[in-house]
Amino acid sequence: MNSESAPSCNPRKAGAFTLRTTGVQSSGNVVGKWLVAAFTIYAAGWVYAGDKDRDDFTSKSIEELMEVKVPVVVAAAKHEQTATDAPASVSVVTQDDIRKFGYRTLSDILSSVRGFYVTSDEIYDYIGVRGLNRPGDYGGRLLLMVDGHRMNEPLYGQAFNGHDLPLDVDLIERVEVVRGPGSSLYGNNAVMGVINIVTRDANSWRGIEASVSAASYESFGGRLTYGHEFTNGVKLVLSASAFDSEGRDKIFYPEFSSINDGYAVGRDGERANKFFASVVWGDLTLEGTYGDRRRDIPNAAYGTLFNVGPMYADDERAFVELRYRHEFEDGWQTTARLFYDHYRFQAESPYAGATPDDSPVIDFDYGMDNVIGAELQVAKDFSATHRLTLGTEWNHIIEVQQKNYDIAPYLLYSDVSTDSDTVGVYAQDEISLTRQIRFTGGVRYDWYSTVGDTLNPRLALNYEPVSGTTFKAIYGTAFRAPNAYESDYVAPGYEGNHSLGPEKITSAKLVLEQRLDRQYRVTIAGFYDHLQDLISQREDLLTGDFQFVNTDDVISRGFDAELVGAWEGGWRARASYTFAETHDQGTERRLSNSPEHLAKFNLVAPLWKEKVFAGVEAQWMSSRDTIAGSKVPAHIVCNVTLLAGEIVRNVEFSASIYNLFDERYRDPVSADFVQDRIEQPGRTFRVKLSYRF
Amino acid sequence: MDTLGITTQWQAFVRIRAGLLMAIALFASAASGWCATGSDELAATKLEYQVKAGYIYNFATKFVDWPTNGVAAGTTFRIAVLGEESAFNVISNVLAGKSIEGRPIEVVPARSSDLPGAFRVVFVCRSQSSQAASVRKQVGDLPVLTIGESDGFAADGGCINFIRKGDNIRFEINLAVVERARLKVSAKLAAIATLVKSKGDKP
Repeated sequence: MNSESAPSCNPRKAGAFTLRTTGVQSSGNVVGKWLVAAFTIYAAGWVYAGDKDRDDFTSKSIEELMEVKVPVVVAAAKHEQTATDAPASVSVVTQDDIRKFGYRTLSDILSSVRGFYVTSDEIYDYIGVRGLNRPGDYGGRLLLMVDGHRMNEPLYGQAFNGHDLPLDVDLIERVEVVRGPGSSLYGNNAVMGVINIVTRDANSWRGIEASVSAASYESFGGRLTYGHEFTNGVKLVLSASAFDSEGRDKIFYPEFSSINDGYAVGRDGERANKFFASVVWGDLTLEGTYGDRRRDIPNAAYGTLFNVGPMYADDERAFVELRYRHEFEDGWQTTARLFYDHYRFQAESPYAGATPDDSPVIDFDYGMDNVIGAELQVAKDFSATHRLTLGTEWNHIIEVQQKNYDIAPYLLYSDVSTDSDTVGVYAQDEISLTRQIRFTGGVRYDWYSTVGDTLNPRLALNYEPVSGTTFKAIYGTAFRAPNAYESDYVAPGYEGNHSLGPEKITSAKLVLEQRLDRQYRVTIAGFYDHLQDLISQREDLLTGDFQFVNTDDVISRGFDAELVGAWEGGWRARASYTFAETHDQGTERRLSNSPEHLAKFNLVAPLWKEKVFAGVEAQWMSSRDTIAGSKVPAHIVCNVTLLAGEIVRNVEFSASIYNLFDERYRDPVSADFVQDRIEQPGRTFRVKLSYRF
Repeated sequence: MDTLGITTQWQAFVRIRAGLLMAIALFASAASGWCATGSDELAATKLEYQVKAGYIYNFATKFVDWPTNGVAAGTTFRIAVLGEESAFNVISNVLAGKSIEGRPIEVVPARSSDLPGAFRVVFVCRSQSSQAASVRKQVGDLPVLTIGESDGFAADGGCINFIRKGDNIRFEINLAVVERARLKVSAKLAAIATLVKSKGDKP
């Protein structure tokens, strides 16, 4: 799964060489030759690891070459392939991007991806795709994986995107974003797409690395990582990270202007600790991660008292997985996983006492789940043009517990524990019909002890009529089972709903990936998504309580386009635009928190000797409706990062300014809040220093 | 509620300016006629071609002997790459400044229609696999090591074909084709390669 870092070569040599060789090439004009030469300099200089790895591939023996692991996209078909070959529309964000754009969290990473948008309610970050980002649920329509291990847990179905992700982004080799339904391979949650995080290999660390950062609002971070391949072939990565932020001293909420002039004071802190370990020994990998994040809540969510403490949410997420990959003599490639997952949530919230004179009552909300599971997958290339993948997955949710009570005086509102099982069986066949046409067909059957079974197919046709042009036609369905929070959660103001069914998506997509003049790369895609029985939070008109129900159908249609380019000397840029028309078929209204237009721009500018880079990005989002039926205006966020590597040996330094123009914008939030929108942070900065021992 | 969304003139100005910047940058990227490969894709394929270039170097320096007559003359060891620019660039970078048998390596981007036959090695990228037959025809029985990376390249009459085994890149050899080209392949290379026969040959 892990991949070797891409090493670099000597740009000066390469440039000079190409000038000479292009002088004798038999085709192309003089300008073309210079362009080739210039491009070569760029290609040589623009390398992820910068000056770190100067591996010379000609000095490797043939045996060494045979053992080099070559990274390719895994998530689209559960085995490696290049992005163009993948039977899906795929984006990859690399470690290099993470460093050059100063990404702090997965939210930062995904904000840069075509068609994705991230919103926040100051407690969690929520990922929207193609106009769908429902206030009130926890992002369960995207499947998030770390090295192929499912991160969405069964209580909230949550994909962790902020500091609550139990993995430091510095440990990420690349993030593969596969758009569209993925339930035919992955089952639950793969409704709008699949995100697979691939962690860095032991070899990419070369010993001990320490990193410290300081940021706005007294925010400090630190990381210590050790990665090494021992002479007996055992690879080890150990990493620990800590993050602590005081947050804004005071935040103004106009809705609460009658209390303390609307200011929440000293209630914006955030703390996170993360640990990661992996041991690779031959075909066996043992990997585990642990993260604990506590976030103070300043905005009086869930009907709590304003500016009265303590109020926080604390998320603890961990997993350990044993993985075995082996290719047998007869060609069957086998992957087996055995895993244990843990998640715990707790929150304290102050509510008004029985009379205004009473002291506040602190409510304690607790959620926990433990899961054990296994997956077995086998694949075989029957011929060079035909590959079959078969798999089965079993999850036993040992316990999901949800408990809610007042601490003092003690009053128990609910204490629900459930357990359940899920079983999935899947098959996928990839076959090249001709040299130009490749067909991928897959289907997965899932059985839930809670909501029954579901069958999800997926068909994809890749057609490459001429070199440089790839058409992809993709059809598939996917589902999201209601999570325990949606069906079982009971607390004052909240009702469960045991008749909740899964929501389902039927999706069709056409993609054109085109190189122009062998040099441009343009991607244009049109999509049509039909979501049925969408699970949404509604207010019960009789009781006034909140409840999750299967609501009307939603149809989302639109298109996106992306242009990617790179220039001489390490310049590169990416621009994308997404149009999404996402309407509730019942109300015939645009969904809340659904921007019609998204535009993104990313630029890397080399400033000095391939050692200093500027990363600039801009993300524009059109206006969005709030659940109160009002609108938040369009906004643009610009971020700038300056990265300096290896000016001093083994030191890398970066300085970032986020929201450079101090744009004051707001994100729509759920019915859990008095306000229908929450203002997002203005201009902030971060400086970061890494040192390799 | 909408009073919250007031946009000050300054912010409007900033937005316009940022929008302008974006437009200029977009225009620049469209107008400058030589954007290259997409970053994600390049990152994904770069290592692959570095490894393949390493293989080619190994083949040529240690494992394959060319006959003394009938080979491309000249002072350089010429390698043709048929395929996309990105592959060519990576390969030429890896082999930059290297020499074989005292001759500096020269990596040349080529088209199947104008292969002059002055090459020791012809590498046909996956994207040009449809040109394999044309390459074979031009090369004929000349002592040229033809290398591909597409399904059936060796079985269809190429010398060596890169294949993927799980995470790793390995290769097939068609010894009959190598022999016809009067190239000598060391026993060691044959031992670690997957041997394939031409289609139609008896097993």
